Amino acid sequence: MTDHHHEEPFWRKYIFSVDHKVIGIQYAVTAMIFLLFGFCLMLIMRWNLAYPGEVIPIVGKLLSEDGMLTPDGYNSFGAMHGTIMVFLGVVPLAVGGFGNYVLPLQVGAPDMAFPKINMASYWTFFLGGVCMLASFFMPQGTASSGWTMYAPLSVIATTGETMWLVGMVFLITSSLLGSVNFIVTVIQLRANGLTWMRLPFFVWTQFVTAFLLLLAFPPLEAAAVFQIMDRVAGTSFFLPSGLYVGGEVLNVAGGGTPLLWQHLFWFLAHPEVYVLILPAMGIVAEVIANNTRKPLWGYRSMVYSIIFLGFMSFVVWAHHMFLTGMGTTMAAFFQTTTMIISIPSVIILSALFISLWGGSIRFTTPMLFALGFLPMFGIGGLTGLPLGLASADIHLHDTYYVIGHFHYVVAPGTIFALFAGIYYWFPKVTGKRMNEALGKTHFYGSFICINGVFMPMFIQGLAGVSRRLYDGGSTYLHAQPVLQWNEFMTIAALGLFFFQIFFIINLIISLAKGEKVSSNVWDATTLEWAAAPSPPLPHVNFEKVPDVYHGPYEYSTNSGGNGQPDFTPQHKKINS
Amino acid sequence: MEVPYTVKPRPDTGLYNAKIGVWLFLASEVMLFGALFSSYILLRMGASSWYVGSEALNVPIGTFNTMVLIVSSVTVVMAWASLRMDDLKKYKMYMGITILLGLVFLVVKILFEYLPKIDHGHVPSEHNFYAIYFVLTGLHALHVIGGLVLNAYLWGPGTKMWETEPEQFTNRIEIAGLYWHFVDIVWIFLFPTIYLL
Amino acid sequence: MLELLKKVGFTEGYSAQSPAIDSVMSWVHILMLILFLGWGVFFLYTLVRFRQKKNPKADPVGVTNHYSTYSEAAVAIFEIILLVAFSFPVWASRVENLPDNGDAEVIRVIGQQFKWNIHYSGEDGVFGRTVADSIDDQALNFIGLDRENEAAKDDIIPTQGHLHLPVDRNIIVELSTRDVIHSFAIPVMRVKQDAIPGIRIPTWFTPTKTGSWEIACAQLCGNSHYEMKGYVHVHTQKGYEAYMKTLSVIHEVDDYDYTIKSEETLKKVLEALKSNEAFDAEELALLALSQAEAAQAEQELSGDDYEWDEE
Ligand code: HEA
Ligand code: HEA
Ligand code: CUA
Ligand SMILES: [Cu+2]
Repeated sequence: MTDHHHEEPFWRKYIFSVDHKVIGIQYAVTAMIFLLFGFCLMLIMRWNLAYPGEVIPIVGKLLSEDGMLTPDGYNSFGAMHGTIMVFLGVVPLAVGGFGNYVLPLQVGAPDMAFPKINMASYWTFFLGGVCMLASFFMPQGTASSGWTMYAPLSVIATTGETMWLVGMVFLITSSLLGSVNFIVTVIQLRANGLTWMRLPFFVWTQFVTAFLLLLAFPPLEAAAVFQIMDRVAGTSFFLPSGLYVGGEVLNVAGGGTPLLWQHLFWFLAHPEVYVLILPAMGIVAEVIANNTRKPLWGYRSMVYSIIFLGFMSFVVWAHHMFLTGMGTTMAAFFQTTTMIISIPSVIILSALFISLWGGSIRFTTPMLFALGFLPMFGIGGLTGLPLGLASADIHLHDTYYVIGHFHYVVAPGTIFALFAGIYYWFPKVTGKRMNEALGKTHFYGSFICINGVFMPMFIQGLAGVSRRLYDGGSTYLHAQPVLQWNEFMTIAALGLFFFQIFFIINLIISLAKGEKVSSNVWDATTLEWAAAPSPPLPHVNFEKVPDVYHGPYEYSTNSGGNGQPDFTPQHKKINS
Repeated sequence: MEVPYTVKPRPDTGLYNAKIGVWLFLASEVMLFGALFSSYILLRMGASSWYVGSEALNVPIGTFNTMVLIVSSVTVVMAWASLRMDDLKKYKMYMGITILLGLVFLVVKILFEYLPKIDHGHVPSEHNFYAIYFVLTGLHALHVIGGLVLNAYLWGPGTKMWETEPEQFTNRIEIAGLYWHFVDIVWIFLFPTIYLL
Repeated sequence: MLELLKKVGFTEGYSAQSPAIDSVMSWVHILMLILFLGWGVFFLYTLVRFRQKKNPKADPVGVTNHYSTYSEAAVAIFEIILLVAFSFPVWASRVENLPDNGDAEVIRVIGQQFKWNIHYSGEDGVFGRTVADSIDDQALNFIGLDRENEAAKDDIIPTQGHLHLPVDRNIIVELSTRDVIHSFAIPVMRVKQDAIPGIRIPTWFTPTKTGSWEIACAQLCGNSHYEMKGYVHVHTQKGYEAYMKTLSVIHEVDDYDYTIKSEETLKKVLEALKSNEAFDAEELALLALSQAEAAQAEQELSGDDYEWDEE
């Protein structure tokens, strides 16, 4: 069964591989490097926020003659931090990495529906990443108008901006290829008996995510084309006439509007934030079910919630634009949809909380990260509510409150969930298990530090400190009472970095000589653990195509006595 | 173990993989052109001046090109139908015509529309009308080129597959056809929007 | 709740619109706090009670009651109330129900990389024409005021970055920008509005306290975005009028150079002020005098005289 494919040369097997598992690992490794890089950019920025205009230690000499970060440098790092974290870090890791590796295994498929397209997807992503990185070496540096690239600032910006746009077109293409693959795989390649309501929650989240990617990205592609035209061909899609820039009136036909860019951008970027969170929720759900040894509570309502969330995420985009001169009706519409979209999130989070009740909770490292996710995402989500109320957003828009809001969802939220996923599926990928002591240190250290980084942002935001300030607001009088937090947050961020070292070391030593474990080390029910060896067989995944007889989380539902396992794998037929 | 349902439809969905794939791809294309059209509307509503399409653009040539594409949409169906009837020769002919018509569309577009416009200084930077005209039709033309490359492959070297896996080959033609219809439909929306309104 | 928010950094509100916005802020934070505490307690209790050691055998059913559904419904109802009773009306009053021009001071603010320009219509109440072609930074014509335009003759453009307002009057700021997007923010007055190229967006508020505060730029606008700071100076009605008079005199003396740049100009201005018959009351002239000095001080200290004395 397994030997029909011949030995492949190295480059076919590990570089231009069409095996979803190899591609998943490629995605994950690339993404982790980008995450680390994005983090380092931010550390430099954070140093400057705490000690404006002081020499940056260690890397200062690389940045400028005098070792300081310039305001231009700050802006370009900021834009790249946002872009890299979102498009080159979290999405590729959560979707490209985990999605690719785990999803086909969980649905009992031999591979993705279109393996070659899958490979193309990775390499287009890679090219996009190369474009973004290359822009650091452009004479005038990278794009520097925020990750949102608002026109006209972005249109009059330096050439790095064009690189950003081209890179973005690659990334969009990559996502499209990937998402088609994911959707078809779920629809077509599910194992026999794996009905929709028997899909692990993780598969559901990837499925909905793929639709978001598929449908939300193209408008940004259109917008990127427009902006490239504005920059290169002298059109004025986003430029009205009579702009005065750099000592002269901008010589364009005019007639365009900067708001067009914002609409197109946010039409993508709002669904995009759910792309960041949904796979994370999926991972957390898997880990929680496994480590509480009981089925997810309210699985069905969770599934309906994410589908609803997916739909709604297309109609809330303008809540990022309340202050662009929006009238009452429009604002009312987008406030209402924003409040509506918070309800499914509340339902999902509540269901996850309640799932813990009655469990027999094992505090393994993945579980710790998954548990950490819950209140952290909760705080991030809750602080989205005042932003969604336009009248409160008047005060909070573009302050550090917003920065605090979304970092709580993406950093201690999504990033923690991704860590949970790494610790959870590492034995699947390698057959070895990660070190628990290092893992727990990593968790507790990160948990404390990351709250130290992001909690004070709410305080600064309430005081009205603007975001994207090179000096962290040190010349603003209204920032004075909350300014001391800048140093605190920077130190916490350095601490956060310190604790990531435990993770990296753990990763390396576990790869080299981690404790070898059985195929189903967590006693899990889902197919990737229960029906396939760890690591799974190259290309075919399973020794035998599994048939499925149960829902995804049959933990503790059988008697489980007399040394019997307390779980029923999805593919085990039970005579009763 | 091969990936299942690459050729035969899956019983419960009634579709083979690539067909769902292409529908999804087209859905995302709809979003792309949807965004482009919405932008057109937004720009036009906000503009203080706008050209009358029928005066600024060459309607007869546009109409001609519309016809060309519509006919090519028919021939691509014929090509697929010929394969279903096991007639490779006819397939070659119809597919050949489709490709030719696509080429005619492009050549006419470039020679009789783009070049004269640029000669007269009607470049994208002149006015947002021309900007959106060039971007919309340009992106459409790129899609036509993509379709041509695909069809040319299926007409030429790709035909080898007919000998080994006729069913899969037929499926491929069906998918290429679906894509080609889409390109055609986009033009059918484009033409009145830009040339006539 | 408001007190609590203020303990953790929330600024005081010095405009008539602040209370409405602050009440939305406090109500939504109450909702957040309830949810946070409720679920937080549940979470911690669950973790302790159902740890593996204590509870080796899981109960696959878990919770059977419907409290969570009720709580979700409660959240939804709370949100509806927030929207309908608070946020919609507040928003409507902020952006739609602007006060009549007769009942308000209309002032134009024009963003520029990286300064705020202020434009008063002067005595005629009509703003002079501004065109991009007339912009001339050297000649201090930052907003491109067409000086041939009749309506522009009496327009007043004070020092860049200094917005002077009367207290307890409705202020309509007509916001625009000459280059990129900026965002006009006065945190203590709960005012924030993006300035979008190509359009002029009105926003309004009513300062309730005299003194000086900052205008922040809240939208990334280039490398010196962080320096794009301005000031609002809220005067008593009398002080405001005097200030405007002073400026119009300066305008006459110094031909469009509204910023008192030199000792000499200042002297000339003072002369003019003393001899100008427009000032019937000596008191007014004196007030104006102090304003002129203050204006100069602002210029020199570029705002470091944070709270100069008003009366
Ligand atoms: C993963 C990413 C993610 C997620 C999930 C969300 C979720 C939400 N976001 Fe957020 N958002 C961002 C990422 C995200 N956001 C980003 C990146 C930005 C800024 C972009 C930029 O400008 O650069 C942003 C900005 C942003 C704005 C614009 C602010 C501004 O610029 O002025 C708004 C306004 O409405 C908003 C609202 C919301 C709402 C209502 C939710 C809701 O979906 C949240 C619903 C969740 C809940 C309501 C939580 C429920 C909690 C419980 C039930 C219990 C909690 C218990 C404990 C804590 C113990 N977000
Ligand atoms: C997914 C998105 C994401 C993530 C994860 C993060 C993570 C972090 N962000 Fe970022 N951030 C953004 C998206 C994100 N950010 C965006 C969109 C903006 C707005 C930009 C703009 O203004 O345009 C922003 C802006 C932003 C600002 C505001 C800047 C400003 O307005 O001037 C700050 C300030 O402190 C900040 C800090 C941080 C910190 C300390 C982290 C930390 O949490 C980082 C923690 C990171 C990790 C924990 C990853 C570690 C990974 C590894 C260790 C992998 C191991 C590697 C190998 C094995 C090779 N971010
Ligand atoms: Cu102007 Cu920021
Ligand atoms: Cu959003």
